[in-house]
Amino acid sequence: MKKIAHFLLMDSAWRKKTLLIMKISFVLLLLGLQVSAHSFSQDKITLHFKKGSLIQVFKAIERQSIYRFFYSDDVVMADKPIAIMVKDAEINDVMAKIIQGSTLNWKQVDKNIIVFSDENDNQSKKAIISGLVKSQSGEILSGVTITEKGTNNITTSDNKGQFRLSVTGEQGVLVFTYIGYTSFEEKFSAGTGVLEITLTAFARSLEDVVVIGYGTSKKKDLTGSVASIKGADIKATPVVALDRAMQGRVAGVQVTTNSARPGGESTIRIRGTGSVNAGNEPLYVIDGYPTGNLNSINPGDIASIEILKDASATAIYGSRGSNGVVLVTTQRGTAGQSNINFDSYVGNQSLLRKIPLLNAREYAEFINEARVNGGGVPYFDGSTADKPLPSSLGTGTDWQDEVFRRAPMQNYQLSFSGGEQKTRYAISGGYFDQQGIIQNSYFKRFTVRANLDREVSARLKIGLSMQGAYTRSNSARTETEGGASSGVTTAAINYAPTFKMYNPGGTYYREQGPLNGNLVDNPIGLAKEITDQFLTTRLLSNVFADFTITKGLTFRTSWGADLYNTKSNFYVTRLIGLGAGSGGRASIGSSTNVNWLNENTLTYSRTFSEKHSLNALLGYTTQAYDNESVTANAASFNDDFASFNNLGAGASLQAPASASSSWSLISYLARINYGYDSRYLFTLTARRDGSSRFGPNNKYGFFPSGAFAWRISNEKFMHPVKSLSDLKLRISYGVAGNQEIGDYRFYSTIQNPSYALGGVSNSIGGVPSGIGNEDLKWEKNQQFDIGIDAGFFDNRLQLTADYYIKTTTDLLFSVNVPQTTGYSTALRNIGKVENKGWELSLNSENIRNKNFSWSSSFNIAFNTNKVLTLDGRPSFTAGDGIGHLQVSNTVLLAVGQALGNFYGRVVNGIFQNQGEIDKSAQKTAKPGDIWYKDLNNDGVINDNDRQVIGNGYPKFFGGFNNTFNYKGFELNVFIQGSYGNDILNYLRFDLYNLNGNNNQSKDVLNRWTINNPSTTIPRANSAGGQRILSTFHIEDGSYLRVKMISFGYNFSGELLRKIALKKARLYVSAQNLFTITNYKGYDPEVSRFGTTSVSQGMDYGGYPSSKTIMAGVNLNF
Amino acid sequence: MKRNIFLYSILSIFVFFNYSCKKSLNLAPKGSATTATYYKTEADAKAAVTGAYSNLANPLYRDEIIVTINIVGADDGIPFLTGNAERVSLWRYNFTTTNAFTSGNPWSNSYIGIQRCNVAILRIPSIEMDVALRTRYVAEAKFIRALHYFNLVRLFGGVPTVTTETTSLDDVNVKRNTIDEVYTQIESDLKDAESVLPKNYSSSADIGRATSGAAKSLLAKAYLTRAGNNAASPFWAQAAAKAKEVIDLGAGYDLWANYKDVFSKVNKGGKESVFEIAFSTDLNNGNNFATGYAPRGSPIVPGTGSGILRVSKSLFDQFQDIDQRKVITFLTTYLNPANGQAVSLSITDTDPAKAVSFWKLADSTAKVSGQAGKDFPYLRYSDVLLMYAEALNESASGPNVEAYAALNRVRLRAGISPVSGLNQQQFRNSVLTERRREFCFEGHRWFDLVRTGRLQAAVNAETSFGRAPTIQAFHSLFPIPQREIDANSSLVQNSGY
Repeated sequence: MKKIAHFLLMDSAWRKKTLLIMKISFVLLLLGLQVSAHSFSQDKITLHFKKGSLIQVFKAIERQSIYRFFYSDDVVMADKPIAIMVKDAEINDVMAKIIQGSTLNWKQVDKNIIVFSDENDNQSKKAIISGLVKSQSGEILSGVTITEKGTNNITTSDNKGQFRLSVTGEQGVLVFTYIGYTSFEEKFSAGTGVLEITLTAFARSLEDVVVIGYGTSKKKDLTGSVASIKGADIKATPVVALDRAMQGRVAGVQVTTNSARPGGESTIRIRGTGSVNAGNEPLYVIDGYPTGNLNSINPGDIASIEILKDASATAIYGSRGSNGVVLVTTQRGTAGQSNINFDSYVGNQSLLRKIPLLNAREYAEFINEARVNGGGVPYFDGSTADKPLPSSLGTGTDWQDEVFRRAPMQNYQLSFSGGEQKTRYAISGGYFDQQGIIQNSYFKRFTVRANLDREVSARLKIGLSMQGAYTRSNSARTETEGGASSGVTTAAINYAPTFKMYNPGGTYYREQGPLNGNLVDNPIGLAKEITDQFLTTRLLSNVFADFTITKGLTFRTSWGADLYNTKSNFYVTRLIGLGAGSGGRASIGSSTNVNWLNENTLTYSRTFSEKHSLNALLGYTTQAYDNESVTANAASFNDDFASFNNLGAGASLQAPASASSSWSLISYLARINYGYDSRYLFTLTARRDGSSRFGPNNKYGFFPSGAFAWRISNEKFMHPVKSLSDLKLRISYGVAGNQEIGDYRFYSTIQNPSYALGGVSNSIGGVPSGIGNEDLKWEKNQQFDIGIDAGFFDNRLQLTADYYIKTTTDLLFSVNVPQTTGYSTALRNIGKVENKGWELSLNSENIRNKNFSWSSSFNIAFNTNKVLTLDGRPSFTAGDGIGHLQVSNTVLLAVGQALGNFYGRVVNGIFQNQGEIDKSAQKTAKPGDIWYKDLNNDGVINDNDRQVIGNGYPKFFGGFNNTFNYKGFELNVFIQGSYGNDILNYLRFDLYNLNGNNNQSKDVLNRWTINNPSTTIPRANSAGGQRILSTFHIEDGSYLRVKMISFGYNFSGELLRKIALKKARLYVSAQNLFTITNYKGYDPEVSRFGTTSVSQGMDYGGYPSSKTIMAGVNLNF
Repeated sequence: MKRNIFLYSILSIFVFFNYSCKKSLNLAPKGSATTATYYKTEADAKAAVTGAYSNLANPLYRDEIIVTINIVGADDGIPFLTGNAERVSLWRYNFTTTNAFTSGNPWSNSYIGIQRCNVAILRIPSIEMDVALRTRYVAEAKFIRALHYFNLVRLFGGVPTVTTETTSLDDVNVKRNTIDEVYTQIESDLKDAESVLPKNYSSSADIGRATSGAAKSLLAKAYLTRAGNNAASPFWAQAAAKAKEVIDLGAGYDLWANYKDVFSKVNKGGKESVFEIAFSTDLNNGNNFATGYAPRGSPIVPGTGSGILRVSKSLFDQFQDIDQRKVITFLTTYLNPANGQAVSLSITDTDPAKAVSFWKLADSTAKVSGQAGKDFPYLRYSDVLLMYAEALNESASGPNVEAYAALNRVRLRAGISPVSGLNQQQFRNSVLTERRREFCFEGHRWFDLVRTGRLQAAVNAETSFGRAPTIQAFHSLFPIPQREIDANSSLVQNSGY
């Protein structure tokens, strides 16, 4: 039973009379339903009252049935004792008896019985006012409640947004109310014709429902740190994949594109990096299904993304919650609205930045100088046709121009949604095609989605979420080692501009001589002669049933499966080195992945004595995963005709390989939310997870959390502060876990190396693969969070700030063990890492007029990271290197310092004269060589002269989004950036090696010579080129980027209706249009080694970023 | 009532799943056994020993490690100078404790092999199977273990002698043993092996397994190494005696009439082979001796040649033109298959595409880069003969008839004239030079120079291509890998590093 509290501040004179109407319309709107007089037949009501108050009777009915009563003060005032005696009666009959002889009337909406006073109903109607209601963006609004102020005259707009209302007075005021929008009043008089009303959406409503783990919550009731991104924001600025939608939008969520290749993935860090060797990526939950593989999700289907950040929010996901949780909710149908949407965009991508390199003449001059300085003779001496004099050379071949191109992308989505009260649907189909800016690379995605909801009865609801996807990509060879195994990018940068593209016969010009000391292959050949396809098919489906056991108590069970199959096809022709070594090489691989999930929850939700609200959850879930994979290879083909399609045609068949793995997880979960008087909110959660991944001694882990929130703004003493509309203080503490280490890691398994015993046979051995660890268990993440949410000026300005301390203990750590054991590492729970920082986000509606509005959102996050303990060692070096550069262990992990510290020598400058050399520790150096600092002052420069020379993680990062609306025009400017992160630019080992092995950066024109005493670029020297990591290779990776500018127009008016359109939007947008950075690689947003936590902020030979200009349309029928 | 039934059914579903899923948390790998379930059958025993053999091939003897040390670290070859920097620093003797060639690779891969041997030696005896076979498998593993320790003691000096299987991280911080203790372990393993292993294997599938002759030969070499350059060492006599045992073993050992037959793929495990590391063509068990060492960019191997190393002039000049080993050992010219033109190679041209290259073990039938199939000759009968000659010369204070016979047998087969009338020092030099010619590229040179105390002089004498080596006396032992010093506080680094 609920007595409606005042929800709108109104003029007290007419308040009483309109209150009822307002309340009813509010309830109607809340449910978004049509009024229905039909009752549900399940509940039979028995009443025995000789003299009962109305309220007593209502309470009695509520106790016996699923119905809830809503009524106004008028009803209470009209309350007279009544007598009623019924047995197993239907609600219709009961209500008829109750209102008999009174002035009351009633309506049933779903399970809600609304009782209201009927006395004003008989006033005469004077005139009819009609009109149209739409949103500021021109969208037709149906279901808007229109009331005549001071009366209970009420109507709603239809699904064309039109309304008609018979008014009682000559003149008066119409009040328009609609969920999520500011209520609006419009005067009318007898002469008023057709009205056209524009409603303005609330900035961010506290009534917004956000998805949390295993349930939902109103934003105002949250005790944890949960950020939300709405589908509309995603649609407004199209992104190619789900993970990109979070970039710059949410404080504390760092998104870094690992590879800009079509279909490439990102590194996501929520509140820093907690783990060293285990995964650091958040858990993705798609429509309640914990899973991954974001590439097959169509961003256009997303209704909202919620990011759970603190332990109070994530602990409900237990052993998988420590890196944060991303909840993705796809669109579902709404009753009463039939929508057909068509969304499409087409775009054109081009290389974001070309790295300036030497042209042929500059290169030849440089080579000659390097040869002479190295004690040799000039190479380009005009002696043969191969060695022309530099002055006779032009610009030569620009390999970057040859391998990069402008590439189109396109996206189409058609979706249908709607339904009536009991059945709702949302179905969609999408097609996305992105061609890559390197020739021959692409990513295509085909998706279908169907979400269905059905109320079988008043007690039982069932539903389905299902999506099918097929993706197909072809990857260019990038992100490889350099040198002889170079990819397209590194080859294009290394290959000399004096080389020609093709031989006279049309074959690729493949020079392997001293001008190509890094032995890279012809870049065009690398782009064109490799087929590297990856195909996936996926069916992700989840069905659920909600059963209301008794009032407030619901049982929900869901069953789902994520079926994911992949196929890879690889072929390299004999025309380039990679294939020539084996006469063409083919490889196919396929994997089948089955992931199933069963979740059962009991939810109890009730409010006691008006002030105590309780929501309790108990759950039991099981999830399991099976993977089977197989690969086969062949080489030595007679010709390249069949590509990867006929392995049998290869003369050298390689041994096939197959593998299989599984994991399973069993979980028990519980949560209690208790609120007192909407002022004090408490949440307790706990989850117990059992995982197959951990040792028999530690199969189960327990993850509790608690949170308290104080809605200070609901305290009486805050009421005088009118400008403050909301103020909440949140404090939480809890424990979550991490189990991302792969399967079977606690076992010492037998691996099977082979040997050619008997001369030809492949004898298979059996040897232990490692040291087992039956104690292996979760990584434990303890997090403290304190935050405030504040709203000002009717929530036009909203602020959220959080401070957190996250401590990860029992790290899943690959401990270095003495190799005398026969192994190098062993997986142990050891080590401790701390992340702390703060986050701020601001949302503001700066201007809100009838015709013009401007809203901004801004977020920024600071995180500092510190290693508290390692595996017993005070420090050690680690980090991925690049094979051909022979540079590795570039990162120092040290107790008391941050993760991601680059470790190397410090450049003191360039030796200008012999005097400086004599003073230095490099007595054999020559003027023009790099001068390193002798950090330990021992007179020798070696590995002991290293220090921390940079860090790959940012000091802070954030985003700033501005949306301007003027009449139908809409402008969105989204800026995003990162500050304080360094990049280890491995490319500098090639581009600034000055030894004549390969082409050089244009900066090398400023190299040291006697006549050009450069202080930044050393001299050319063919005998030089030592590959020693120093500050010379570290660059500032900070950037500020206009990530997206989008300009659109929303069409409205008669024209649209004539062509049966409710809404139409046309837009043009530009992505990555403009970047401010000092970084000299392709793009500062890069992570060469993917999501690994140790080797962040490194760049070598990645797929370069592009800028995209696109035009799109959103049509709503 | 209806409500209750529903509740009960929910409850029973909970209980059912709870029960059935508890079990499902105990998942074991489906694609591989675990140490708890393995080592039960004769097949497991065989596989355990095969596993020990396999890391001899890959990576230890595949190309990079032992061969590189013995060529680049000595005076036989020059690395591609703008290639792998660590190989260049080995050549220049300015390497550090993190160098992969001198430290990381030989250390870690030897101990991986030792651990596999330890597992086989300790686990196989409790497997129920044919007793004779069981004993033989253990003896094979002991031979391989001795081989690893022999490499380690020569490269690093006194290393920890681990002879137990590692199953936990307790007690892994082992101390270094003395050089004598390591040799005691080697001798003990090889004596066990020589007493158990057969002279020959009847089945062709067993070709490549260790024999008693292999154990004896390795023991002879261990004695020879231990004798060092100490003329008074009693190990000379032991080395001579052990070599003589091999010669008199009756295992059918002999020299091939033609030097080229030694390395022919059809003669794998042939009469001259005492022990070899097995490779096969095109499958996963090939080596890189073709593509890796062909002249840079040359189109005569799968892919094109990498030109990892070139031949030094000082080595090349050791060969007379009549020495039939010269054309087998080196590639001095090749026909470009694209245009049929002959490309002649040079010992001095700085262009690595034109460098005279090592060609002895290149398998011309390989179709896939890095998968060539000639075996690596670890111990040859000619080695036994030269060891015998050397040990006799030292133990008898000068060459005797038998010593001349052994040395001249090797010389005559190569087509060069026999020697005679040498004093002890001349004979010593003659044997060492013969070893350099006979075994270059077979992983002996650096070891021979170190044990005879000639490394520093030899390296300083070979200065082509601007080598300027900074070699010192301490370089006769390599540094223990830095990561190992870091991981195990009980280890003490070799002096000088």
